[in-house]
Amino acid sequence: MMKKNLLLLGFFVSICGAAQNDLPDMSAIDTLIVKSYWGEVNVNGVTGNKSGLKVVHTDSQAKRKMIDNSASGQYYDMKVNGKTLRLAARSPKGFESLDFILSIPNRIFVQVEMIKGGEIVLQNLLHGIEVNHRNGSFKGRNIGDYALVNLANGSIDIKFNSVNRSRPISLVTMNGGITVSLPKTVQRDVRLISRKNGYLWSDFDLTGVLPVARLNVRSYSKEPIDGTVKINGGGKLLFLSTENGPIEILKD
Amino acid sequence: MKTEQELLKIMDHVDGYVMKEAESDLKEEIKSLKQCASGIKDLPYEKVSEKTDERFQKFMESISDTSKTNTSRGLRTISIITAFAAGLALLLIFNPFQNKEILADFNAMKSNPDKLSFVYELTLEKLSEGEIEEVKLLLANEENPNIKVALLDLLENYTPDHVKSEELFLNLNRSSTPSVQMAMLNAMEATDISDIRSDLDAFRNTVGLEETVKNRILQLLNNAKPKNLK
Repeated sequence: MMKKNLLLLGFFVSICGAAQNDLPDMSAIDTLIVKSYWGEVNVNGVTGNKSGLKVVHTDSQAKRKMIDNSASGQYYDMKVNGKTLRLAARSPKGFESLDFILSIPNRIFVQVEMIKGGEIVLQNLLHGIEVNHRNGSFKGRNIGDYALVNLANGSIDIKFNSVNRSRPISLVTMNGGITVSLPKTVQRDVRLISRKNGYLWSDFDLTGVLPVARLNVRSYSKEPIDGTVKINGGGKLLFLSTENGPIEILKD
Repeated sequence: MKTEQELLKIMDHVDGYVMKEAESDLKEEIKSLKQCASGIKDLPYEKVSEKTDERFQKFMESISDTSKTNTSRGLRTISIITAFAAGLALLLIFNPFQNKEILADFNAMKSNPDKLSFVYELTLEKLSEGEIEEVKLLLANEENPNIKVALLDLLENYTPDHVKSEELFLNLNRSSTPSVQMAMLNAMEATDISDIRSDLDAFRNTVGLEETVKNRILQLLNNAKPKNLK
């Protein structure tokens, strides 16, 4: 009887373990690529090789449900190819969305593509991020190494806890402001473009020809801001470009 | 000046259709042409790389796509765009420019940050005409939108003398990322768009095109002077 109970307990533990372990063994993974259409992508980096995935489906009647392992293949595709893990949402059926909430080792490089719209939040990722997003904002917290972020409609707000001095950073949006927070010792050549409705705020001293008459005044200008300046003597590129919105460069 | 009859005689001799000795006044000419033909046959055959083949294929497809969407537009503008596309395709195959370092160095890079740094370093230099052509090829082949925007920021420095609106329009037609489309339209600002007015106007009706992009096209069209007023 006791032996039977132990077997049942073991079976229960293995089921629970499988439910929490939606992602494959992450020790051999160095890149995560997420492709989604509508919804939220939230990726949080953690120390070690712990990982987890929650997927929430919202249908066209706004009914939300958690997707468990057994049904996952109907909603998204997950593949490991070499050291790369790919998660891809299915093409939307009507107005549905999928939220991906991931917890992954913080050493993994993350690339996210949002084809239609939603929110992207990436945090505690130490080895770089690349984001291509159509509609919605992007937020990055405690990001390391570098970032290439491209948005159509939405603002970019990113805080670096460290940057790789030999890699560039590029933050581009068509409609929206850009706020970037950098370590105080960072050295950069800064390419600044704000075509309209912009202002330029910088906690850093900017050397070179300033592209604005009034720095650090939060007053929206119809005139384009277009210039290249340096932070702490210059270095790799920090490319900040918006068609419509302000630019803020903050010290972390 | 030789008559058509004499030219045909010369060609018959060069092609080997006539074995008898030619008239004395044509001998020298035939000899020289035969040497020339023999020299060309002896030139080593240079195989075009597979990558070039792929790029050419992509370009031909893009030309075909462009033609499909252009059916309602004027034949003149189609021929201009197609001529530029064909020219660019020829550049991809034969690349007559000697500055091969830009393409080779860029293509050797594996990571996007390395490529972006490389593009920025190019903005700090004065590029030759050949190098500008290579940057245009990078733009045509690159997929990352941040790198494309940086390439356009670089090329904007060379408008209108070395970068024409037709070339930018070709890239516009192939891009679906709004920020990249805007960067292309911004680069067109300093160019003469009179030859692509109808193409731009038609592009404005592309399904799914962002309003901001549509408005920018309209602004360009309104600001540009008609050709006859230049």
